Amino acid sequence: MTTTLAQLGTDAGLQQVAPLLFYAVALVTVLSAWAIVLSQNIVRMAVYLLLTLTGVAGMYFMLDAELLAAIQLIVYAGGTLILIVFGVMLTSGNPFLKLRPKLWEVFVAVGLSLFIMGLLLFAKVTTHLPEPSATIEEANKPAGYDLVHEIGRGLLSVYLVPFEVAAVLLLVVMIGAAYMARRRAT
Amino acid sequence: MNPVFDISLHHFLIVSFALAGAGVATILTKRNAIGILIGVELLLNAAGVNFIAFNKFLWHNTTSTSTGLDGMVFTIFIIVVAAAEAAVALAIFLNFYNNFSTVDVEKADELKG
Amino acid sequence: MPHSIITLMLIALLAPLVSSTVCILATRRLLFKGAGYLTTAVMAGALACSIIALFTWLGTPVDQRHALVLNIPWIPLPGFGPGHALYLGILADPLTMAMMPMVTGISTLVHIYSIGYMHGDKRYNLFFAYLSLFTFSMLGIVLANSVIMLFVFWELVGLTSYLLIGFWFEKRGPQLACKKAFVMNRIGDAGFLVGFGILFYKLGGAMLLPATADSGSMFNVLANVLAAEGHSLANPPLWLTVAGIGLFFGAIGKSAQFPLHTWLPDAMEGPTPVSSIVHSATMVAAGVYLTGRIYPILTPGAHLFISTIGLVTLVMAAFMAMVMTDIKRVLAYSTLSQLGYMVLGMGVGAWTFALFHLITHAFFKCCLFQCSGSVIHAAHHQQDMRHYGGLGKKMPITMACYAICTLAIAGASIPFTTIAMSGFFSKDGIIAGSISYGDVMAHAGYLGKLFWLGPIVIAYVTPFYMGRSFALTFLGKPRDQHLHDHAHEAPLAMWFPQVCLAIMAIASGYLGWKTLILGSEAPMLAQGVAAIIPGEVIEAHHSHGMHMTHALLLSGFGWIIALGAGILMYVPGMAISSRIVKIPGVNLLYTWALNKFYFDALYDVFTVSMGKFVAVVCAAVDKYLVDGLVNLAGSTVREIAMLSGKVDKHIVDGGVNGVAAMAQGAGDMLRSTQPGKIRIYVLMFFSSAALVTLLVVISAIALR
Repeated sequence: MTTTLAQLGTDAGLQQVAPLLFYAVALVTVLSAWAIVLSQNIVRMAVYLLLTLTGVAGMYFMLDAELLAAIQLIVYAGGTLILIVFGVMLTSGNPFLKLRPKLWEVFVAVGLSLFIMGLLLFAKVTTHLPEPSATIEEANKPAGYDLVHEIGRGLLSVYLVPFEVAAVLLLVVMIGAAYMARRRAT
Repeated sequence: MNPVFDISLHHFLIVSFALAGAGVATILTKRNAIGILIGVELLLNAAGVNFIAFNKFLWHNTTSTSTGLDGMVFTIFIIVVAAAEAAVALAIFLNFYNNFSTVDVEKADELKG
Repeated sequence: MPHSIITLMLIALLAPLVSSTVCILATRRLLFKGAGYLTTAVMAGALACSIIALFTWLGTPVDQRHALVLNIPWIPLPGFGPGHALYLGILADPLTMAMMPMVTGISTLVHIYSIGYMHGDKRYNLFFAYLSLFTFSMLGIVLANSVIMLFVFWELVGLTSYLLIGFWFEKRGPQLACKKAFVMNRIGDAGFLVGFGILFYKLGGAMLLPATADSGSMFNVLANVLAAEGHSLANPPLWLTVAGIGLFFGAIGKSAQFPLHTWLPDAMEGPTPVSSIVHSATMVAAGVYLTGRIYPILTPGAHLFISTIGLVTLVMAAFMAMVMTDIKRVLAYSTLSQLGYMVLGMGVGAWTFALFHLITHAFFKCCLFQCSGSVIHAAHHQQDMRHYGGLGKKMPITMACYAICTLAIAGASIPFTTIAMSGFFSKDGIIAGSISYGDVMAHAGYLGKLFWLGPIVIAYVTPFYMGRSFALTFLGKPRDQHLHDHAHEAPLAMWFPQVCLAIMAIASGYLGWKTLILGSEAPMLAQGVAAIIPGEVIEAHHSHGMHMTHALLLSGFGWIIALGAGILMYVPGMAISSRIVKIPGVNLLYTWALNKFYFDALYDVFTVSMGKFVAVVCAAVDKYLVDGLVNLAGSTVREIAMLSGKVDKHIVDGGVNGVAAMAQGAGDMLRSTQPGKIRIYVLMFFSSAALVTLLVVISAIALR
């Protein structure tokens, strides 16, 4: 199956490119995630994490969750990651400090994580998942449907309580973090 | 359905499993406290991908009480909690660093029985 | 009637509280130093408010001058029926109008004086805080709209006077003095509470003071209750007499009347500004003011009681003032005596003159105390007048003020004219009232004559002892050369208020006479009486006019003779008087007076011997009864303890030790699973999670 440049501009073209795009993004995400495991340098870990996070944002895009993708990029890649890099700067005299684990620890850790992944795969294979149906397709959506609009409405109606709880949580975190990180009188 | 070219729920779940495995492995291998934090972020992202994927492929928008956005909203809250957790964790690490002059979690063994 | 008066009164009441609170909290250097100026400025503001209110009042036509009230329901009393409640609030009537400028004015001057006197004290800011709080309490009494609110502030005055008298609590004297003042006041307050309780029960909680016909004021309710019981004020039931005397007991405590008078001379231990304010505007005035407020409920029996108490205090205190040598004590007993005049005036029905005397006396007595403070200040805290002499040349301003106030308290006047000092106007009104009361009481024989005789005799004694203290302090030759050499005039902050007060001592009598007593259309205080006792002005039947003339004749010349005698006799010092007191008879009176008529000793003997007796009985009971029981119980317990000790040692301990050893072994084993390393914990966590997941998946497959 060949795809011409002209076909790319159409929906059908996108349909054909989408799998390739998915594989590319998935590859980047998974590889950079495992690169974090294998890396020994904290700054590199942070860079790989950035790649992973961006890849996950791409996944969200492909899952029709554009708002989530944007939030992922802004909050995670833009906020949390910077926070982590600051943490690296503040807590290390030498940012390229290497703290190597023992070899047996690596084996145990990778073994355990492979076991968990296998377990999850096994569970997925043996679980009967219903066929994908009745998703919010373009055709079912009412006129003027807007995802951002709907999420905003939802946050202030159905999900109001968790929304407020999250707000309180953020306040507590802000105060708590500022209190803990303050300079001691000593 | 072509299992290679028709991207379905399974593909996304496998990516999410890989992310989760990487997260667990990162937490277990890193001695740097910030590395552990990175591992936790990976785990949270795996959960986020899971939520969005299920929301997209399995959500039956039939009930009257739901907007069909449960997965998305949940993911938003995951991101919020992750940001909060990162802030608190870094505050703890700063304290730890002030007291021990290192971020090596092997040194934090004062709870040893 | 402009309601701005209420607002002004409210500001004047609350401003000192605010400044006091600020000064209590002030520990910083700036506020510590500035406390005096701050409270003085605030108090001056309160004075301005009071004066504006007074002139607003005087500016309204007479027929529109009715009492203003602000009632805020505080505690509802549903038990007495709907609508009953205890009220907080403000009452502004002629009496309040007259009292407010006096209290705030004197307080302002005392504040100024204190800036000089308390300079360098280590609790400087606290002193001003207490002083402002004291004034606030007194203003609360003056403005109280109900007996309950009056009582609240009454107790506040008691507390703040305790704080002020005991201000130098490191010393033994102030400690005892403030305790004594507090306890004596509590005894009086017990009576107050009894009277309050009777009225509260009988009137159904209606305790409002204003005498307007429309409100639930206690006087209207009382009239209804009396009518329902078939009584009237002229033919009162016993409970009303008891209630009146009970309330007056509060006044006995606060105004230091016989027999609770002993605290007032001891209160001299406090700083002199405290003495000057306690003796003039605030504390002792509260008692007389209270009697004036509750005047309409006083029955003839209560009147007799009150006037007798006043007469006893008047005479007794004057004799004590004649023999004391401590300058402040002379003034203290003089205050007692003057308070006796006021209470006597209340008792005999010279309502307006008693309150008028309260106001005029406040000015000249405050001035006298400030002068004495200046003298003591200059004389290195020597208070004994036998060491003074000839200080007049060193302290001319103080001497002039002291002289003016001596004339004022003596009731000096140019005979047959109304050119006179303030004491003349007020005191002679009381004397006239007492003479006519003596006429009314003539059927009681000697008692009636005593009401004639007492006030007039004391009107001669007063100039005598004031002349004595003046001569001993300022005239003659210096008797202590060292002290005399170091004496100096008081600083500006101290002599300025003295001069102000001396001017007021001259002027207040004439001004008050014109506005409060005579007035052009309607005398102000008489309006108050007429408002409180509708239709029945008790003073009317005393036919004042004639007796006024008697009083003026008798005391109008008297002051010259007595004052002259006092001065001439003591200019050379104590030489003449020491010969006089050797005369038998005089000798006895002298010794009695010098020992304060043995009241302190009497109270001491009474309370101490009672206490000792109770203590001995208690000790005996304790020793033989209680101790015996305790010892018996003790030995029994001891035997049981020995037995249980054996059981404990061999059986229980063995078991306990065995369990402990087991726990220790288990702990040692479990200990190795707690390495304290976070990654081991994480590993355990994930392993467990994986195992649980495995379990779930397997069981799900098995159950399918």
